[in-house]
Amino acid sequence: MSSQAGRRAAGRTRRTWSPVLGAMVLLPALVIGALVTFEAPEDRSVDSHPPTEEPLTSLDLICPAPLADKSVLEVAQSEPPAAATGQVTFGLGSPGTAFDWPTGASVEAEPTDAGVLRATGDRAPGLVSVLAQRSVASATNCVEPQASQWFGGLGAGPTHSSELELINPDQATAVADVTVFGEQGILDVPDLRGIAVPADSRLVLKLADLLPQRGQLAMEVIVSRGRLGAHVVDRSDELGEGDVSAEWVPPQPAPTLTTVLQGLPPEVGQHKLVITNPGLDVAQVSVRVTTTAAAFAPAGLTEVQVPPQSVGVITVSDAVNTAVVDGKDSEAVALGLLVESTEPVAAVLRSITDGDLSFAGSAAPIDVGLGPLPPVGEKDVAAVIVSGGLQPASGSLRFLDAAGAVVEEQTFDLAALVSASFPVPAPAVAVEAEGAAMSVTLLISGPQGTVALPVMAPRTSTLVPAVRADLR
Amino acid sequence: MNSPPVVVALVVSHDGARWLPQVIEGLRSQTLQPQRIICVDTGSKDNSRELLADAFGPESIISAPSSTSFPAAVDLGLEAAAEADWLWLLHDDSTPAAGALARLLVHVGKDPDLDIVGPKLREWPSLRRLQEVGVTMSGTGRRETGLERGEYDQGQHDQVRDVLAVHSAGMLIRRSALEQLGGFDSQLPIFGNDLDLGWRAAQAGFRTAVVPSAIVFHAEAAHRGVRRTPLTGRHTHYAERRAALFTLLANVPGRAIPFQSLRILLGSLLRVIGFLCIRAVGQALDELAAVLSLYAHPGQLRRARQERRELIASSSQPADPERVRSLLPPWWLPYRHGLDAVTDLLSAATQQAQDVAERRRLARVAPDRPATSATDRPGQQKDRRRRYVEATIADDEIPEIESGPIVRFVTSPLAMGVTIFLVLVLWGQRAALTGAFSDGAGLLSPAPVRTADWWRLYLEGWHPLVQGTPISAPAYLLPLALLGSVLPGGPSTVITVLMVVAVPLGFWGAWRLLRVIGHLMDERGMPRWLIAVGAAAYSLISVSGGAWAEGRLGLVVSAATLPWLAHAALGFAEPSAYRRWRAGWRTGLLLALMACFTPLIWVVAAVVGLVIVGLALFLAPRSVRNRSAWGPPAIALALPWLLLAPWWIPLIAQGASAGLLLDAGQLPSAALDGSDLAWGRVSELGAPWWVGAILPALALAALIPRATRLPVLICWIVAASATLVGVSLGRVVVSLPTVDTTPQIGIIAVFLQGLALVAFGLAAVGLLRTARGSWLQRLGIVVVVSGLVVPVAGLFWVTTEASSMVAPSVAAEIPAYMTQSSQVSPAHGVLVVRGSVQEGLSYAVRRGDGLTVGEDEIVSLTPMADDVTQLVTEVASAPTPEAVARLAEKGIEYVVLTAPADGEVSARLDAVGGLTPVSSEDRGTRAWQVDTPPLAGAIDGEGSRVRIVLLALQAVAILVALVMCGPGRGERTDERGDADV
Repeated sequence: MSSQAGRRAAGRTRRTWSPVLGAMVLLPALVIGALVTFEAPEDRSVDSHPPTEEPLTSLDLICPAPLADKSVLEVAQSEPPAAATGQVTFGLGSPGTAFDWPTGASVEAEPTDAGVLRATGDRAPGLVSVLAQRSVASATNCVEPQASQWFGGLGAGPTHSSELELINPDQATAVADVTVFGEQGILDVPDLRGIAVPADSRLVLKLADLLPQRGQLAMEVIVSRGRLGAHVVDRSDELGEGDVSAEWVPPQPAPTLTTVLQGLPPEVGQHKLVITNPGLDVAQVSVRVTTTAAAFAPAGLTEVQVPPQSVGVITVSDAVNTAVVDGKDSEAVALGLLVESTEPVAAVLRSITDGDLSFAGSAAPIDVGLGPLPPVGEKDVAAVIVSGGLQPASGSLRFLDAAGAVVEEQTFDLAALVSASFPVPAPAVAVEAEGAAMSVTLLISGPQGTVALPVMAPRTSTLVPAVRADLR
Repeated sequence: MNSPPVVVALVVSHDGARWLPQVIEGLRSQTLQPQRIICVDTGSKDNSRELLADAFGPESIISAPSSTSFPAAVDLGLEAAAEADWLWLLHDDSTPAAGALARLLVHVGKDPDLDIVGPKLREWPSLRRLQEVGVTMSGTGRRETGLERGEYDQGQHDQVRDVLAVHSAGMLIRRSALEQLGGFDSQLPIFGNDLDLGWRAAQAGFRTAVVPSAIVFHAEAAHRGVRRTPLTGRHTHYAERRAALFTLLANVPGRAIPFQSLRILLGSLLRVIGFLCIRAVGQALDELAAVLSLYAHPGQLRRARQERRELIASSSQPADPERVRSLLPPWWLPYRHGLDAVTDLLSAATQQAQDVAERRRLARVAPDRPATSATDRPGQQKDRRRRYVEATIADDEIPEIESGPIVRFVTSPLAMGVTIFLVLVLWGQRAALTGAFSDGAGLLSPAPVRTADWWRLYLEGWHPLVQGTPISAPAYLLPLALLGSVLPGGPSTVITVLMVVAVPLGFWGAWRLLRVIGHLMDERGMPRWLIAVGAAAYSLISVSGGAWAEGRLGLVVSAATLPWLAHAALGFAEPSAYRRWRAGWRTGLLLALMACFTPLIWVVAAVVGLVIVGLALFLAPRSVRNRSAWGPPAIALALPWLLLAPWWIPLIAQGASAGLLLDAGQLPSAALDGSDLAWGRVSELGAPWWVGAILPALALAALIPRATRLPVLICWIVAASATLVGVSLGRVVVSLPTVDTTPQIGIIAVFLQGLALVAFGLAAVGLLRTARGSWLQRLGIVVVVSGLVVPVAGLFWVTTEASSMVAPSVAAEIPAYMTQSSQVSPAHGVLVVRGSVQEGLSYAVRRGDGLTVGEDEIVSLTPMADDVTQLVTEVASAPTPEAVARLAEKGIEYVVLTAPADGEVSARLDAVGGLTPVSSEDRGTRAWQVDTPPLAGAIDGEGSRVRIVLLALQAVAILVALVMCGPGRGERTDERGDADV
């Protein structure tokens, strides 16, 4: 009996042994295989949710107070609607005066005070505006409220003084902080910190009152709360000689390493290149004159150092005057300056020719531009200057009449460092530029003086942020 | 010299033939015989009458119908014993010791003031255990003997003393006193009439004493239910209880009646609950019936009290109430009994968690069972039993730490080692002690201020979160709220305690589990140092795996509970069906608790259960067909669904069933891959991966020793099932309204590590116990010792790194004044916007005190409010005063643009009418107040009423489950049942 049991036991052992051995190999293999081949699903969450572009339905352009009586507000729209339903008004505070502008690409008004050009509906996309004086050769672009703007070539002395004009287009108080840079560094001006501009109002700050001193100044205007339009008017008063000239200072949105300054006055005068270095390192700045043929470094103008957080002034009268005079007799007409720096800087050329003050400001590279033409006198010469700066530029200019029809079209294909100038045909009221990363400036010069207006890119759309709900 | 008093012995009998021979014998053996013996037989159906007639002559028998109560029988005897000075009462189940009557009479002679004397009653048939030495009644109607249960008579109660009453069995009562008292109360036919008589006697000025030198043995046939008469009925508990309450209410002073009535009612309800807790439903009903029956017949009580008043009035020497009171027990006695009962219940509850291995082995070696095989000789069995008992005693629950004397503790390297380990872990977790987790850390939100917040969140059907949501609260809120209600300090303490206690709790659970597994493997069990190493290795898994530092509360709690669950589940292997059912309920309860925190454990349990049942069907199909084999695991799997009904039913109904796959805590958590599962890592905030790789490697090596290969393979089968669950679920992407995630399979990573540990432990036991001295064993010991690396490396990392890994949870910095305002009402929300126009904006509406523990899960499952997203888009891109006013309608009071605030958006918000800039926490952050006050009922809503029903169901289910997994009355009887499985 016991031997039978033994046989049974032995038989059982033989039978169960192999499945156990099999399981011993298969199970770990199964577990390891499953784990090795198991990968977590890809993380599909993304950090960036780009905004969508939507047609602009509302636009505010801030226009400063006119400098003299006879001023004109030129308003133009790229791709105007056949029959506009949107409205354009002008004023500050109250609803403002509405423009009667059912059709056409441009309209004109004669403002007596500062105001907000407010466009809604189909009149908002592509709207641009220029405020110009008939009597004095001065003009400026009406601008959208910006969070930060740079102005250079300013003064706070008896012969050279500047005024900052802040306009609040909204119904809530806005606050700005102004940092003033001098040739010796940042100036401490408590009055320019936390400047509150009440709703729908305008505030003018005279630098000569706040920080009387000689020398070139520059400022950065930062809007810390709300929206503000900032303009600066600069005055040159040659005491005793009676020549008083005023001009709006062209703003620069931010310091850059390369700045294209276009619109040299065609006459001989005093020219000062004012460089603002807001950084903490010394900026090595080199200047070249751009012409219709090439760009060259003027003789005697070596590299200049601008100390950190300071304004550097380079007197470029000789270089510019020589270039302007030489250009009249040659193909290489001098049209601007190319400023290159080792640190981001803000630059502007301040010129006084025949007692007229003018600025050649930074012309930011644009792909599409629209510039309304200020009224041009019979003896005035108006031209559009185009350049690609360090890059080649090609594109076209279309001169439009009041109805929006193309009067003349010019195409250009420029090598790097070469500028071109195109005269404005008579019936044109606006110029439309199309290309890639080109600087476009409108230059008007005549007996009254010179005015250079950078052509802006009209805004046609708005960015609507992608909004998503979060857990916490 | 006075003539000796005439004593008549009165024996009342009813179907007492079983005991009567001894009773007759006892009477005959008296050193001082009573002058006469009268027997009253109340309709016995057995030969009681004949026995008595043979012994004492037919003339001494008085026959009465079977409906005659004990008081009536005594009355009959009294009538017949006209000559008696004293009446000696005896029951047919009480037999006096030889000198009982003589000693009683001697004492009466010494103290002539005594009217009633009684003997010391000892249990029959044990004869040595004390039953009563005088008796009194507590304020709850309990018969107080002043004796411990089963107390042996060693002369410790042998002083003669005055008592309230003596038992009617053996009572010697002066005839005149009995007559004056009107005999026993006929309202009390069987039980409690002696107490009542004593109490009445005391009030009427009679004296009662117990004379312990006189001994009567009493079988308590009626009380034990051995004898049923028409008078006791089937419900002896009912009869006893009713009699006790009647006695109490009939005799207490009148002014105490209202208080006593109320006390009895409440006390009885408490007892009903107590009986239900031990599943003694019949007694619970008897208890309830007794008290209801008493209160339904106030007339009986009124009459009884009237009779007692008349008795006292007619008494020539009524007793001083003070003296009567001194015979009653102190007021606190019932409360002590209550405490004793609870303690008994708890100790029984803990004892039932004793090792399944012990009982399986005991069942195998039980002496009353036939030898299990032909080779089992009785001597061997005995030896095995002795060795087993020794081994069991040797390594009981971590004894030095818990109960050992200090010297033993200090001299035990193991106890010292465990203590040092736990202290070092505590030091490593110092971040938790400083409140890092209660303030919110990693994926754990801050704890709410009050426990009431948790209760409210759990109970309400509509939550004032986001824009108002009916999503049901996570199930783990209930245990947290219960803990918060118990612990001082509320939710913060709960979170801190859980994060700190998890490791010791896991250690304890793993210790118990490994001990049982060791015993299942080998009767000597696992060496204790190996248990300690294994328990330490397991307890650190949640910390070194990164769950702790990341604030994964759910995983931390579940990891600590897992070994307890496994321990409970081993109860399915209990030899007795009764215990298997209990194990089913216990496992179900623990599984439900774990599923609250990590729901996927249920899926793992179900799959593993199916695989095991499948294997059992294959290997031993007959045993699985037994209902008590498959029933308990089925209960364990079904119970969580019942217990967690208020959580999952609404979630499914609300289309938020994705919540069933997610752990407690914030989202998103990192998705795990195969290596994470294998190394037990759930986040980057854990120890280096190789610390987690050791256990799986050891589990692989555990397959080599042949002796333990089968149990190790079972571990691998379970691991394979869990792995398949993990890799299948881990590939799924669950799209929640605001975030994509994967089902949270972290608990599977912990489960696999635990299994690897068990496999390693099994092989280690086998190696250490067998083939001593062989090369395999030597090699094995090297491998086993290398297992030490796991807890040592883990401990090193925990003490040096763990706390530094804890980072505060991400939350918007909101100025204090906004927080205060938002706590006024949920409608005062703060719209927190992050990001930029270029990169996209995200928003959240912060309400109350921000998101706290328990709210994250609700918010992450709440569908996105498209209208609010649309409104925020409008406000951020082209705000108008109308849009801003609509913010107020959505219950938003403040808008906060967090640093670095997008200049474009902030300029627009500055410019728009209806928003006033307000101060913010720092320069980079911008904040505005909505000028329009928030709409009061902006986020109000109404939850489903079904939730109330579900909550009530849950409360009942939890109570039932607790009762079902606790010890019960049926334990002893059921255990004898089918013990073979």
